[in-house]
Amino acid sequence: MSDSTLTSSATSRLSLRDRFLLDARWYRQRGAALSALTFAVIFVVLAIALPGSFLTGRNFGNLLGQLPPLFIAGIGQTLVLLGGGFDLSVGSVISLTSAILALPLHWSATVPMALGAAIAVGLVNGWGIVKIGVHPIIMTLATSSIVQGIALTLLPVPGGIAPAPLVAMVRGDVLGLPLGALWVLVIGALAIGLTHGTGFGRALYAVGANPAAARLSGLPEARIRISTYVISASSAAVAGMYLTARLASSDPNVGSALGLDSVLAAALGGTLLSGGIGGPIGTVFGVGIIGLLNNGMNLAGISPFYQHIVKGTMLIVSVSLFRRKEVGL
Amino acid sequence: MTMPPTIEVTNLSKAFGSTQALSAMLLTGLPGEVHAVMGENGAGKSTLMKVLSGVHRADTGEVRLNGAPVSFHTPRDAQEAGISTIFQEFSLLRNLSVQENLFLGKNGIPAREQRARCQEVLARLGLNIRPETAVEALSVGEQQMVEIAKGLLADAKVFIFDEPTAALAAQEVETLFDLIRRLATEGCTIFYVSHRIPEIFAICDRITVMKDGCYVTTLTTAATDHDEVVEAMVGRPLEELFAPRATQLGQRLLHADQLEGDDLPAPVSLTLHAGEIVGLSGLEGQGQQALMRLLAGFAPATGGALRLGADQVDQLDARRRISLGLGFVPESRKDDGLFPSLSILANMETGSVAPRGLSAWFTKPRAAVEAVMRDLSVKAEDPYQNVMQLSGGNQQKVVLGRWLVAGTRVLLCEEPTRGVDVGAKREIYLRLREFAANGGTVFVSSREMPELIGLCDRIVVIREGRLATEMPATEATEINLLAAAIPGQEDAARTETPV
Repeated sequence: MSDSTLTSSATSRLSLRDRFLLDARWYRQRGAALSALTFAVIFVVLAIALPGSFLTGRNFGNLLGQLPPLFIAGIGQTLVLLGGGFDLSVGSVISLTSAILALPLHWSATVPMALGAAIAVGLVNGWGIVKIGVHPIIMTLATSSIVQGIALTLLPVPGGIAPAPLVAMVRGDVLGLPLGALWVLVIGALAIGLTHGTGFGRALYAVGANPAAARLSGLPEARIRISTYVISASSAAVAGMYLTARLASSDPNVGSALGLDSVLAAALGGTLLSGGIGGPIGTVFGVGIIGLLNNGMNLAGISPFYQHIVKGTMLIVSVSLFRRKEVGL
Repeated sequence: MTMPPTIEVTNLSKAFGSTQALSAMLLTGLPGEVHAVMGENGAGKSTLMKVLSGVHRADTGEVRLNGAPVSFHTPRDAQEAGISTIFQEFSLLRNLSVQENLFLGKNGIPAREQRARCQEVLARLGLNIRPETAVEALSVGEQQMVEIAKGLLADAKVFIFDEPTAALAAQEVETLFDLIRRLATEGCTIFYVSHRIPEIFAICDRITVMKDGCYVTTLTTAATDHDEVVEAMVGRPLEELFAPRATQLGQRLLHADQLEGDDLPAPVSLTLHAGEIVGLSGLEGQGQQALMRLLAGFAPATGGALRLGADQVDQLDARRRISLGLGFVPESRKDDGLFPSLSILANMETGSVAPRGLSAWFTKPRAAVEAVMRDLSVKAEDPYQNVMQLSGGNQQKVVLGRWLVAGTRVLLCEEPTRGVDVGAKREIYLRLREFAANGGTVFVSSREMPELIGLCDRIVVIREGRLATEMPATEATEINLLAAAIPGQEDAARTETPV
């Protein structure tokens, strides 16, 4: 009996379905496939239910303008989750970025300062988690509190004027697409290239699945895990710049909702919180699902309070589906 | 055997804090030999192998590979020098493909070449797996082969196998042995670390025995026997390992009558009497676990009757059965048996919670636990010591002791001495016999047939989920137990089995 099961994985000509079930790349991306399917279903439902308001250029322009902050922060969070970590400080870093941009200095000083501050937060997170051994949730919860405190000290109330060059980078169109779409394309391509095209990406999947085994295979496990927190904090800074520019003004609480939403987007996209499974492709769809839900319910005139309920329910449903290996998606 | 050794370890020492894990250890591996490294738990086998594979660094001493002294800072160094280790817990990443695993950390090789070399090495191992297959989708045996493939790919000359058969099914063991022999004929040196003496005699050319981190002796397999090896490991002549069997039986303590469960294909009938130890023998995965768990009440009975003493218990859950005097020692001590963050005291108390109810206060738990600890001679500082600091044998005694504290009369025991050294084994055998002699009964499953033959009064053999044969332990031999255990016996006569 067991001989036949052995050879069944062996025959050179396999059905597409078997490849889908056996191959490692699909094994890591099943969640993304399910999430893409969900995205498509919601899209079709909205297109049928609200043809007049949903399928318009203006609506898509709106959507593409709103989604980049969540997308950028979600991509950073995805890399942390892939490496087996967790970053709760994303929202505070976004807020801190916004507060730093409101400082009475030239943008050529505030933009590098904001980025530098984010990298520092990422390094502290990574150092505490990897070198000291603090649990990721505790470590990033602590830094999140500290960073939020600094943001409020720098800018107690919303205000200030966003740097003009940044504002120019989020307003307007290029080749008929809103500039927000360009941010998504560039950052999405960078992230997908990094995870699927480089040795770093391969190592990241390895570290997330089993840090001890990765170390035995000669991978710089600690450095990789630390770098995910630096990447996450940096992308949070970029998200913060985008948000500030879009609002044309700074707000020390602007990121508060985005911290957990970034986890939501990654998880809806099929990235497992235990590490090593999923990736930025899924997060694209995860963010898309959240965007479509918000957008659809706004258009249908449903109270935004219900949106929280729907998002939470979606998360439980999708994550419990990803947990079932027999779901061949 | 005049060939120069491939690998030569001299005078190797390694200390962890105040514990001297290795001192002045010697080991020589010749080209083309399978060399067993044996010793009790804690003898330093794993430390020695970890030094050779670059996980630990030796304090003093020398390792020579093909005559040249080497020193490894990382596992990678050892792999590149040609020493490949197949660890007990595989170092494969389950979410990556076979090819990705084989080339992990080796950048700059084009994907096409990776795939070709991967296919070539898989073919050398006789493995029909596509390089893209996720490790997750492979069987344990196949995963082990992929580990070996890593070594072949690195052109390793020395392979270290650490308890390689622990997780393998019988036919996978055969495949592994064929492969080890082939590696040896190709001139590789194989170090084989295992507790399983029959395997050692089946496959190894020489045996190095170590004790307390020191070198004891190196024996040639063809010129030694089981007893000499065990005596070298224990460090003293073998006393009688087992206590005398029961002379008379008491009343019926457990009686299963046509008991049915979802995981068993046929109803089971079984009777256990006070004073006896009954063994459950069979090949891997013939339903031993399902039967034990059905009796213990972790799986619901779907038919038949089960009596515990005078009480009908088949419809009761495990907690109620425990409060009526049942105890269950699970096979996997670390996963199912112990609470790793708790003290010995807390670990032993848990068995008494069920009979007393969750809201009851404990009276003098410490005195009761200490008495049992003394009875079982658990080696620990006091009952408040963390249970994970104990050796495997003492941990097993804690799991057994839990039921002694609870006043259990029927003890269901899976693999009583798994991962326990010879000295502690003897004590566990004596305690189980004592438990039975004091009016209890033990139903014990084990993979080790000599253990069942020596320990039990009667042995039942399970085959494809059915209790196939029963024999008195005095008449049982490994040969007739195995003969009764091999599946497909009746079927083979009736139908031609298609291959």
